[in-house]
Amino acid sequence: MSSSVNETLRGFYVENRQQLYTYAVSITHHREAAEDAIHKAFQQLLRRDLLPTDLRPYLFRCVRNAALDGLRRAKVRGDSIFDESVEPDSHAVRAPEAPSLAELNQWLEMLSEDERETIVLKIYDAFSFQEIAGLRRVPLSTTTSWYRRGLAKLRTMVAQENL
Amino acid sequence: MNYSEEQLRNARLASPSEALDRRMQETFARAARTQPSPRRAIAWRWIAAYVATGIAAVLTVVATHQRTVPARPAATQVLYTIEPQGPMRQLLLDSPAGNRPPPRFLVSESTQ
Repeated sequence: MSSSVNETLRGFYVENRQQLYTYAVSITHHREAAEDAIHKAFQQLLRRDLLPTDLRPYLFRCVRNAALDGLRRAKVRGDSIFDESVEPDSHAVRAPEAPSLAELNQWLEMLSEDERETIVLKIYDAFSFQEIAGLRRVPLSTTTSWYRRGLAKLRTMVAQENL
Repeated sequence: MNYSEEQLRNARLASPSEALDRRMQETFARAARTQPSPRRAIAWRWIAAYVATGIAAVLTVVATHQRTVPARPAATQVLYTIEPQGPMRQLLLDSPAGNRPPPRFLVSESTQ
């Protein structure tokens, strides 16, 4: 492991810790497992001498693999990607029909794994569809389809809730 | 952006714990301290050494060769004329029988 690899990974972690965590929790549904997955992925990468040029999709894929690996071992699930412990900002005007974080999480949980993962990567991790396709190793059309289908399901759930 | 996307985007996300940050910092610090010589780096160093030795050997041979070979004289134009000898020469010099004038015949009248 060269010192440049160490510095690169350290910088990447500092810049992307929130996105990596949200992504990992969306896969594991367990915060500790998500943190373990991130830690494990970085530990493995620190043993390497070289890193790929396009580090971001690669590192997210490593975290995904570690999270899936942890998912196979443990079955304790149920954590949300949202911070439900804190009340929404009192200054923010919340629409009466706006769902709570618990509801949003519940709806996200009702999506398929692929749909939820694509939505998290697109909305919270600022990945493009092309990058998601590269990360997941699927055609571009598949990722856009997962995303649109997931959002359509969410819209339906919101509409049913507001009836 | 539609309503669902906006709602998701505005939702407050759970943050990683400070314990994770501490774990990560410890991991980075430990990795920086140890820095073992990786096998691949050693292999690359050997390959680089072999290549450098090869290039040096080739350069040495080329330099030595240039010193030992004398300078060539300036080129001069040489004209070679090839002439056949013996029967071949005769055949080429003698024109074919068809090209020669016919022999002259002398006819004389005799009463005897």
